[in-house]
Order: sequence, then structure tokens, then C-alpha cells
Amino acid sequence: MRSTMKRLALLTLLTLLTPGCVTGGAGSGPANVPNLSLRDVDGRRHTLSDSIGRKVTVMSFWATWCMPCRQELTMLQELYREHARDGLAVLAINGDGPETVGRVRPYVKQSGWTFTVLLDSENRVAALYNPRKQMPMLHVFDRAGRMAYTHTTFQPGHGPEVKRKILDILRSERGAE
Amino acid sequence: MKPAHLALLLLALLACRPAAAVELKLPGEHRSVRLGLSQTLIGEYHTDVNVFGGDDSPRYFDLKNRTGLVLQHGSTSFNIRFDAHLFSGVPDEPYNNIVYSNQYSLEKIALSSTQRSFEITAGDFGVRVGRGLALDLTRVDELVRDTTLRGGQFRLTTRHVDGQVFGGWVNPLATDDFTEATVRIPSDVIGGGRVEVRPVPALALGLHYTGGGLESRTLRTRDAVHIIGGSVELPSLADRVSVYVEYDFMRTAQDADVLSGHGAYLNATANLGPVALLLEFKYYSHFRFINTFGDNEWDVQIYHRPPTLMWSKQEILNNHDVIGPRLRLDYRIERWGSTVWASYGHFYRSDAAPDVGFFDSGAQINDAFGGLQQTLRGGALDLTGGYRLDTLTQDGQSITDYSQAFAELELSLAVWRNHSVEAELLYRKVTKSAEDFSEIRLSLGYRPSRWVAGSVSYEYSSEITDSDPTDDITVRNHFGGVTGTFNFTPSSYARLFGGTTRGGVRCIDGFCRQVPPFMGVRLEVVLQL
Repeated sequence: MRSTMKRLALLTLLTLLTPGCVTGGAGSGPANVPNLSLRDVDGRRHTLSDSIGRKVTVMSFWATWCMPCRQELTMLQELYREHARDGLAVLAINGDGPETVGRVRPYVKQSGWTFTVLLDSENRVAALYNPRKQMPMLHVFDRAGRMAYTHTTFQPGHGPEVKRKILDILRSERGAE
Repeated sequence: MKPAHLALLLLALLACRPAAAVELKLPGEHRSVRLGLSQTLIGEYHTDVNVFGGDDSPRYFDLKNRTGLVLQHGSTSFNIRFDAHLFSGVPDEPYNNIVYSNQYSLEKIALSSTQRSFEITAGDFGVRVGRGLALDLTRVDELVRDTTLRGGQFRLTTRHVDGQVFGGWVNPLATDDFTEATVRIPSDVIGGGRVEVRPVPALALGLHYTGGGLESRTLRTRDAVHIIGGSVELPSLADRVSVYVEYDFMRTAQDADVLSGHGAYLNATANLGPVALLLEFKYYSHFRFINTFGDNEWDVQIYHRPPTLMWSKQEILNNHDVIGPRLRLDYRIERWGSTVWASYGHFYRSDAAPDVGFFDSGAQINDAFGGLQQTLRGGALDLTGGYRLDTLTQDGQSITDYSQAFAELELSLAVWRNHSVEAELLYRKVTKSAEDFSEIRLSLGYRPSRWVAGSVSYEYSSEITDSDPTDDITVRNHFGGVTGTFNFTPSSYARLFGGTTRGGVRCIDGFCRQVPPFMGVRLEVVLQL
């Protein structure tokens, strides 16, 4: 038993050390984006590569029953309203189950969100970008399609930091143009 | 594991602070490979598994490790999940029917290729057909066992047609997350397909079939399930109205018995300025796609989730023989940042007297709840409350089968700079099987910075959960604990809990689990790239 524990600890340590300490950091290369397409709440089809790899894209995983998700998306709506013309895209990936998915459309319309809300009913996007299915979870992709920032959970104090990170990525991209 | 080893592991985790993404450059390849890693390590020391008393309860240590890896190169992706569950100090004999055994398992593995017009997956995949009436194998919350199909899936996507065919063996996790029991995996096979035609964006017509060969309890035969159904969806009429209608016919052959079931569901929404209306109508008759293949509570595999817009934590006694409507109204007060809402449903059940039909059985459900969602300066507040009454008619008199009154508060508030407070309060008063009980769950948290947080939790319940209340076992009513969290990156954290949690029946969106109580110390380290 003791030896199996040791083996597991060693395995875990190696797993974590290898990517985390040796090869961490964004690489350089063309966009690495799958052609996954989902429907939005109005039935229109969107492909991830329509936004990722073309614009600075915020991908946020959420559900109607998740209060911190609502706070995060309210903050993102503000940001999107101010910076959509600067090349900012927001993809809100909805993960409601069959019981509550019927509430998604009225919820989105009433909240006044104007960014793209996609229905990920079979967790296809989540399998790639949020395998633990945490909510809220947010990724920011730079214009080259590289994942530049990741943030999970959302508490009131998190807003300014997340906003600053997104704007930093947006500004550095504009500066590089 | 010695404490020194654990400390070493934690130090390594803290020292690395991995970047937000890892992209591996391959020699001679212009495009890099994205590596996504999610690593969860949970160590628990159970000081007394039977927190309701008794001397025979084991004290044991368990370690769970889940490593999920995603490799993505352009349109091709490879997912793998490896789990290990190790126990130390558990009794040799099964305790409460729970067999604890060390498990090393390759839980999920899948290779996918996604092109503009088609997608092909070999290995493990989740699938939902329509609104989940005909099949739903997608994990959306922590109560549901992460079950997939292991086989193949082909999906076609054109301008006007979406289609998919799939088939495979059922693949739940080898160890149940809550009880930690080693799960016997049924040899169930599921297959099917769905085609959805959209002649115009505002109209979608769907047709689907799901078939299953389920391991029988007797193990001599395989039970056959066939579901055929269709749907009509109007996702956006004048940007204000949406309608979804689905009907499914189910035929089940169980040993010598052949049963027919029906499921029909309507969901219509309307957005009229500050008002949002939602109407739901459901008709489920003998509509169950479940395999109960063993005697234990966890020897159940649920294959569909017929929609039901109840309170998300509502315990639902019957969602397979029920008919009735629900109406929900939300009103948004923009200048206050508030939304007030109310929901009422009235249903008839037929399970109490299956031969006389829904309306003559005398079994009714009245379910009303409402609340307030308030945006605060630097925070949010959710208040929800409601009452549900399930009645039966016996000898011409109406009696209570189940009733519940509840109130729930969730608050998250910035107090100063990065400091914030969080509070959750739940009160329930329940009458079930002629037994009354009430419970309170309270959690108060304080976050002084982006990196650390602390909370205290308290639970009270007057429910008698011991199977034999006449014995000398002391029933515990009060539970409490302390949690500390350290975030070492914006997506990775270490969390330490010490104390007791009550467990009991926990429900999310109509799916309920009997969660065992816990007393001891739990350390959870989560790392995500």
C-alpha cells in the first residue's frame, strides 16, 4: 500500500512538473482552433474559428443557475459594449442541462446581453476547453488563437483583475498590428 | 502517504505556477500542439464515517487523483482521463455494502476530428438527443456520475441539415464520487441517431431514434429499449417568441413484459420588454429509461432526463408519470438592477393508481416558488422561496404525500478593495412519509485578497436518518466545518476542509443522490492549464 502511494505521488509530481515547469508559456504559431460549430439561442450557427484566431476572444462557460456566472457575464457585457469595435469577441458557452435549457433564451434576452451565447448541449466545447466542467470558467484567446489567460470562479473582487487582463491582451494585440 | 511526501507534492505544485496555456512546438511542424491539463488530487482522512454514532465505523484514509489531458492540433483532438483511488485502513469486510478497493483506471479516452461539415469521434463521448427525453449522457453537475458512451459518433453539419449517428458501450466512472464505492459497470449498449432539418433559420424539424440493450437484473437476458420521437422548434419568432415541442414513444421489453411509454414536452417563451414569460407543459406516462441492475443505491444507470422546471434543488418523487403545465413570469426593473420572478405548476400523477389514469387518481402536485435577483454595487443577491404540496386521495380524503417549504439566500459582496464576503443560507421544512423535519445550511465566507479565502459552515437537521431509531445510537443534529482556500494561479487552488458535513439527499435539477455524511479532514488540490 505504501509503495503504491509513493508511486502515485511520484507520478502526480512528474505529470505536474513536466508541462508546468518545463514547457509552460504560449508558443508561437498559427491559430490552433477546431472547426467546432454550435447554435446560438436564436438558432444561428457559429463556428469557433469565426472568432478565435481572428479577434481577441473571451470564452466564458456559464449556466442560468450560476450566480457568479451572471456577475462575470454582466462585467463582460460592459467590456464588449466598449471594445467590440476594437476587435473583442465574447463567446458565452452555455452548459444548462435539459431541465433548465428552456430558460436560457429568455434569460439572455432579459439580461440584455448582445454578445454571442452558444448552446453547448453535449459538452463538445467543454470537453476541449473545460473538461472539469467548472462554472464560471473563462479563457482569453489572443488574435493568433493562443490561449493567453484562464480564470475560474468569479467573486466581486475579481472583476477589475479580469478586466485588466483582457484589456492588456487587447491593447498588446493592437500595438502589435 | 507520509505527511512529508504530501508536503513535497504541494511544494512542487506551488513552485510551478504553470502558465495559462501550454503550446508544444513540434519539429518540422508549423502549427503547435495545445496541451490542456486538469489535475485534481483529493486526500481525505475520515475520522468517523458513521457520524451518526456507533463503534464499528472505520477510520480510514483515501486519496483520489484525476488527471485529464487534452491534446489538440488543428482540427484533431485527443482526450484522456486517468483516475486513481487508493484507500488505507478500510475494513476487509464491506461496510454498509460499500466495497472499497484500490482502482487505477483509464476512465475516458477519445480521438476526434472536426471539419467544417462533419465531426467524427472514436472512444468516449457525451450525447443528448433532443431535450434529453430520448437520451441524455452529459454531465452537467457534480451529482451526476460522469457517464459516456465508448464507441463511435459521426456528426454531419450542413447549412440546412444537422445529423448524427452514434453507438457504444456505457462507460460510467469506476468509483462513485460520493460513496467511494467501487461501481459495478453494467454491460449496457446504446445506439441511435438524430436528423434535424432547418429549411429556414426560424424552423427546425427533428426526428430521432434511440435503442438500448440493457443488462438485466437476472443476467439471463438483455432488456430492450426502443425510443422514437420527433421535435419542432421555432427558436426565434420576431426576436420575441420561441417554441419547442417534442414527442417520444418508448417501448421496453423487460423479461416477458412489454411496456409502452410516452413523453411529450412543450416549452414556449416570450420576451415582452421587461417581462419574460415561460410556459412549460409535460406529459410523461410510464416514461423511464433507467437500468436498475443491482441492489445498491449506486447500481442504477439513468439514461434520460425529461425536462422539469422545478426549483433546482427540488427533490422530485416522480417525473415519469405526470401531466400538467407550469408558468413562469420574470419582471426586470432595469434602474434598480432587479429581477423579480414567480413560477407556478399544477400537475397530476398517475403512479399512485396506474389503472385509473391521471385525473382520477387523486394524486396532485401544486408547486409555487419565486424570488429576487438583485445586482448590487460590487456584488449580487439571490433570494428564492417556495412551497410544494404533493397530495393523494384515500377513502375520499386528501392526504399529504410530500410537502416542502423553503427559503434560500445567496449573497456575494465586495466590501473594500479586494475584500469580499459570501453568504449562503438554506432553510427547508419537509413532510415526507408521515415524518416532519427541518434543516438549515449556512455558509459564511471572507476573501481578503485574490489569493486566499476562508469560510465557516454550519448545518442543522432534525431528520432521523438512522435505520433503527430505537437503538442507543446518538443521532447527530449539528454539523460544522472550516474551509481555507489558497489560489496559486487564477485557475488552480488548494483547499483544506476540517469538520463535519451532513450529507443526505442532495438534488440538482431533478436528479437526486443520497450523499453520505463526512467527518474528518479533506485536502483538495486542483491544477488547470
